[in-house]
Amino acid sequence: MHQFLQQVFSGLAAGAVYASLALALVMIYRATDLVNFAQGEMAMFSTYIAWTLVNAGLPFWGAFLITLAVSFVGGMAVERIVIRPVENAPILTAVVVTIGLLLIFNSLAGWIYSYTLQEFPSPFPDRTLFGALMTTRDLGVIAVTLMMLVALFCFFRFTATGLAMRAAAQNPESARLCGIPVGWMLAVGWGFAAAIGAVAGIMVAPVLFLDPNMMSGVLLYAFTGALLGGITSPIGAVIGGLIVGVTENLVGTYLIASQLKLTVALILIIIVLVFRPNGLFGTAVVRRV
Amino acid sequence: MTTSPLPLAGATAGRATPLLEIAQLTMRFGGIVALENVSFTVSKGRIAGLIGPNGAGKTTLFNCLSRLYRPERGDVRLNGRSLRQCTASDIAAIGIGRTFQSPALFASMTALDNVKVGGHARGRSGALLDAATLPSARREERELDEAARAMLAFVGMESAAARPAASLSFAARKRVELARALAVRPSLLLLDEPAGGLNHDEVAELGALIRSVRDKLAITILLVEHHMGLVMSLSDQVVVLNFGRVIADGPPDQVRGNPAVGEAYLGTRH
Repeated sequence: MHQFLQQVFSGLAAGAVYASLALALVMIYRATDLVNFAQGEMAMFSTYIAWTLVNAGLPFWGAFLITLAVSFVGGMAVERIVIRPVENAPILTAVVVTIGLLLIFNSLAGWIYSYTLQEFPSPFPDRTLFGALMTTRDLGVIAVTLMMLVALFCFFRFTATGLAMRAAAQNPESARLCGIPVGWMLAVGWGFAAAIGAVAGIMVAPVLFLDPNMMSGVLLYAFTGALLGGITSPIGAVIGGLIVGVTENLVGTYLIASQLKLTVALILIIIVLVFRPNGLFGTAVVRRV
Repeated sequence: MTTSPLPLAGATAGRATPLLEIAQLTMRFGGIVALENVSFTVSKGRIAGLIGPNGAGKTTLFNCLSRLYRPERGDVRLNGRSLRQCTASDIAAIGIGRTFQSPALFASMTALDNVKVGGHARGRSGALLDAATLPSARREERELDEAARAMLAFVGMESAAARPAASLSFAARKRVELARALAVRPSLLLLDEPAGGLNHDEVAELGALIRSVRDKLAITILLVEHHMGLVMSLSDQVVVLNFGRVIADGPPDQVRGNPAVGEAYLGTRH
């Protein structure tokens, strides 16, 4: 029982990271109907920025905040420069563009930072809590993720810009007629997604070690989480991410060799798509033809 | 605001600039001419009805007015100001509000939030300010909230403020959409088939509501409508479109007696 609970908690910590990245995917999907395959690589690149800043001698949380700001601006720039020209192109064109972005960020990171694994510092002390039930690191990751979610919720629920962004995502035409600059709202959405991804990258880097391919597995889990929660639901993405984290950890501990853990994600994707294509919290998309 | 029942379009020359001027507007889709040399004016404080058979170009004209379409030729002026350089997102700030045939609300947002989005064009402090939750931004947020509640009350929907738009009845959604358009504080309101899909009683209430928008909020109204009883009783001026051309423009009585209008609706007698 003790081991089981331990695995659940460490699964929740991993799940919190998947949930963050899943949330970033859902934000972009809701705003532009597009799955951003480069989300993980953008997060990886942000993590390298944080790593550079920490190595330059900045305190961890200072580096953390600067990285979020840089990622936010970077995400907006990616939308304005790369995504906007293909806004009205067929969906496959846009998908290929995001895959191109994935390769560019990956190669760029490899070129600048090399493909060697780098150690990334954890901001949390390495101690165990509640009779070795969980570690302070896991607790820290969960806490940071929760704080970020609450901040995002408040932004979207209580500010005029948050309201305008929700409106722009739901009905761009009506939003435009209400005077909302929809294009800029999309760019801000990409900025948020990039910053959320940066949090995920920074939180997972001490565990996985930093290298340009660090996020490829995480992206797959995050994608599974987003699908499981229903790709249109932010709450669903978070819950889906947490479920994937716990499931992956338990299955890896009790059922299969941990090298095979990634297949859990693939199996979950297939199960969701076959039995519940709209996920747990998603809404069916009805299109008038 | 003009209060005396003045003679209408055609006789506008020599008077003060009308609120809305449409001049030689032409719009084609491929080989299909949707609007051809459409010209008419609407004076301040009037309710103008735009009628015509299906496919006459009424909604196309609305889409040109709200800049969702860019007309090929011609111009639209509001208070003498040309809309040629405007995009759809400038329309609210310029003073045009509009509703759609089937209400285009933000489905999962509450009625109140929908109306608040309409007030967005009026908000002045930018994103950075409200991210920092400065007092001025907070005050603005409160004013936005109060203004939105007032508009919901104006259209009689205050009790639905907290309900998601998608859960409301069709008639209720139309009212919320009207409140959202009013929250823009327009000088010109475009209503696209406001009575469509409403029952007899609802149409009567709507007529009274549209009149009070004009009388109490001093908003000029251009409405597309198929419900002849409503158009004829509400409008000070009726413009008839057929195959993208204006075939009649005048007070309701005059338009009703116009033989060309009868032909457009019923066909030619042989």
